[in-house]
Amino acid sequence: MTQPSAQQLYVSDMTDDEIELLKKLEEANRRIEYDTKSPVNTTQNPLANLRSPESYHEQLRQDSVSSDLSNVTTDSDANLENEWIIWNKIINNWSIYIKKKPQWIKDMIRASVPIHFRPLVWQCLAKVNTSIAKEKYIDYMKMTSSCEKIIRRDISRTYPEHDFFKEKHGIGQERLFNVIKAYSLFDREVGYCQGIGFIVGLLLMHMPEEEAFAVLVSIMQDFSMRDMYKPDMFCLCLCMYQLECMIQEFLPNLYRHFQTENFNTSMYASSWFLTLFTTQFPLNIVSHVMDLFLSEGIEIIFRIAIALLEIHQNELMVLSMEDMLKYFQKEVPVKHENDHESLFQRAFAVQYNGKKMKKLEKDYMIIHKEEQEEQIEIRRLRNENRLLKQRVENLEKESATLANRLIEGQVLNAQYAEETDQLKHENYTLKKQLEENNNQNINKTIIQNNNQNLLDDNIISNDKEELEVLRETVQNLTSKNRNLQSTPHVEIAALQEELTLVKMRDAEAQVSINELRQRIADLNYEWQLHSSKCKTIREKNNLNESNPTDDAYDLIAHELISLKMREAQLDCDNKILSQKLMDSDTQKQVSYNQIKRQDDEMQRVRLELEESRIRENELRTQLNEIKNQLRDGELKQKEDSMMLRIREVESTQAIGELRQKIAELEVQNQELISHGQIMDEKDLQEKLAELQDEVLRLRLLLTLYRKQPNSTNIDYEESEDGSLTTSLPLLSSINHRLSSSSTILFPTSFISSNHHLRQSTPSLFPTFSSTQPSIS
Amino acid sequence: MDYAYVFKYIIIGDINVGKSCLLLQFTDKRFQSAHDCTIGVEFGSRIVNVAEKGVKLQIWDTAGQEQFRSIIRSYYRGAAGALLVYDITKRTTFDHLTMWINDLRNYSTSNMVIVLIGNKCDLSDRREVQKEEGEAFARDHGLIFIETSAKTAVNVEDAFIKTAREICNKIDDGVFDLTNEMCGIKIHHKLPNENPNTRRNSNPNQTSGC
Repeated sequence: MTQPSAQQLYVSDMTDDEIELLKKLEEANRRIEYDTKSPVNTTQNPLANLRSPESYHEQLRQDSVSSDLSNVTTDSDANLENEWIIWNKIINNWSIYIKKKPQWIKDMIRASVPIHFRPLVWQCLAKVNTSIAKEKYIDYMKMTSSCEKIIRRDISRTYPEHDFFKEKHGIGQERLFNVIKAYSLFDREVGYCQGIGFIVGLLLMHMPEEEAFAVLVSIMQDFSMRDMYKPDMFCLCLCMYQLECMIQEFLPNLYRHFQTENFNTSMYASSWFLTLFTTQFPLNIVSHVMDLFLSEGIEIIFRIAIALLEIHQNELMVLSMEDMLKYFQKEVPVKHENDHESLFQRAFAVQYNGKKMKKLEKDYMIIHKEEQEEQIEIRRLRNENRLLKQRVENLEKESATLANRLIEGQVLNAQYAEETDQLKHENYTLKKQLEENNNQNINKTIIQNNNQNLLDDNIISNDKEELEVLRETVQNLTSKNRNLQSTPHVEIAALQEELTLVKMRDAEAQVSINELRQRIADLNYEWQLHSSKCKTIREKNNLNESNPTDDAYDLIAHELISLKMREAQLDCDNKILSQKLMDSDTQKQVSYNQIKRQDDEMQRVRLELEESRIRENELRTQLNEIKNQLRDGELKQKEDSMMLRIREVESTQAIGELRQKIAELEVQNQELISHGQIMDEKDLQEKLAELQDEVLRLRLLLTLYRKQPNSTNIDYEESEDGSLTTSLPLLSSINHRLSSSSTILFPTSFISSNHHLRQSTPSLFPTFSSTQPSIS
Repeated sequence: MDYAYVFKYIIIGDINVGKSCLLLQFTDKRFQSAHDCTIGVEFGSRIVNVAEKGVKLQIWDTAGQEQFRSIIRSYYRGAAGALLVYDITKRTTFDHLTMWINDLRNYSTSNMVIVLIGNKCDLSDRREVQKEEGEAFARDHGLIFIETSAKTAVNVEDAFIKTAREICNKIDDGVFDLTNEMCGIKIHHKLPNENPNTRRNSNPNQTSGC
């Protein structure tokens, strides 16, 4: 983008004087510019106006525009002069020309704007003279913007290779910062957006800060560039879509190639629209693009874009996406550095259809809406998906844990199975061993039996014996227990048995007695026989006396019989004795039993005695208690009687008192009665007083009558009371005396005089008056 | 240099955290403090050797400013790897990471490999975000973490290659549907005929290598 050779040429062409002059002019121009501050005003000085952009431009961008300048200087002077004259006219009468010949001006701009007129043309196109932005600029300078930090960061990254903006904190960077900051304050919605800097930079290369700001505001607002930079960049996306559709229409092959390579329009074209090709082309082309943009609007960007793609179609068709990007970055700017005419001609030739663009805009609106809805839907689905995934994960975890458990269970199972197998095996072996042992045992036992059979038997029998003994003892114990339990019955039974035994013995004794008696009878009978025989024999012997032996024999027989008799008697005695013994034995038994029973009874009786004693004691205590109660009762009774007596006495006393009271009351009553009579007397006294008053009144009347002649009453009065004078004061004193004396009189003679008084009220006065003197 | 795969990367992060510098350091092995700020998206590529095979990394460097979000979102979808960059000397750039992650999750393919890069680690004397914080954030969100310096080239190569390795692992695990271009991975078809076989042969080695 730089042409050092051309610059050198240009510089070398100028002499020292010319440079001097240039500097002076530059200073003068600047002064004028700053005084007037209006492009229209400056145009009033054509010379200054003509020179000023050049000098300004030279100051700002010696390198980049030098090519233009060199072109200008090398062009034929006549053409140049003509052009300048025409442009001077246009600028001077801008408002007229733009109204009357807009197409012509458009064509003029398309043809090219002389570099010196460019700032003025831009300002005219941007209608800076009617804009209020310039006035606000100074205010904005004093304010601080929230975007300052970001702007500051990007300043060094805007035209970083350009001399004017290269120096850190140099004049170029500061101006850039100021204008961008001012715009961020002017348009709060957009604020600062990356890309603006490049446009501002381009403007600052051509004009001072304030004008640049004014033009920028116009570009943003009048040319709707601010829509590009708005937070959602909707307008940029729309432009991408429109461009894509145009490519599809005008360059279908390239479009297909782009599609296959996934070469998205935004990859290469977004900066074209955002920065108006300032990041794509060298500055000479960029300046002309700005001319055209300010003249024709965003349309020209589409035209140039299509033209650019058209020109490079063949090259792009064979490149991959990556290479195409590189191609746009490196090859394209270089190719157009010197040949921009063909590009612009192509661009003008592009069949741009405004209506179609509008239609595309509408289409895109719909697409965008759908996309947004889709996005919302996708987001929703994603969220759902995420939740489901989480659930799946949770479930998988669960299932994993379950599987683990299952495996653990199976492992345990297997272990158990193994263990059981082992146990079975052990069992089997043990059984085998047992069998073997048994066999051995059997063998052994057989042998041992043979050998130790007796011992075993002995042991067993011993055991058995012991067992039996134990059983017996148990049985004995149980029987004993039973016996113990059934002792009363047994005693009775024993007594019965005894009884039967006694009866049996009695019977036997009877029988033996009978037998003995029988024997005695037999013996008696034999004895009688024998004695009879003996008698007969003796008679014979007596008769024969000669036979001594016979006598001896007789004697012996006699003795024998007597012996037998004695024997029989002895037997009988013996039997009787034994019988007696038996009897005594039984008696002894019976008595023994009786004693026992008596003992039992005695014990029972003793127990009863003790019980009765206890009872007696209890009863005694009860008795005592009762006695105590009785005593208490008696005491109470005594107390009660005492109390009663006391009460009696009290009551008699009370009666006496009451009687006294009655007497008193009677006395009181009598008093009261008398008092009542007195009270009546009082009434009478009152009446008396009244009567006395009347008397007084009458006397007064009398005195009044006395004053008159022929009054007998007054005479009477005088005669009655001779001591009294006729004067009134005397009367009153007498009257007083009367009243006082009457009060003393009453208690003694009120009863007798009462009736009399009452009856003789009219004549009261004379009676009183008659009695009065006697009392006094 | 031949290559088997093409991986699409995207570099994102706040404005001025050094995204373009990282790319430049990776592709050209140079550092340029003054360069044009990124308008929209910029592009860079390089072929690297990952697990004994060539992988071409196509890297889209994006504008960090909020306004460009709607434009760069369309680049999320076709990317297999994302380098999410913050500046260790600026806390705000770290604070915005959640927003970036949400944006990525909303607009990218779910299998995207994300590496969190704390850039400018050469300026540790001005550090505002501790390494541990970055590590913790990466752990919480399932990201690879690395601190780099685009200026001194520390870990820059690693950051890109680690991501590639992770993607390779995922390919071997069959996570990606390679027939879908939207996954950000392309098999390079211009290889000579013999190569697919060798590739197939080398597959078992890759699994161990990756």
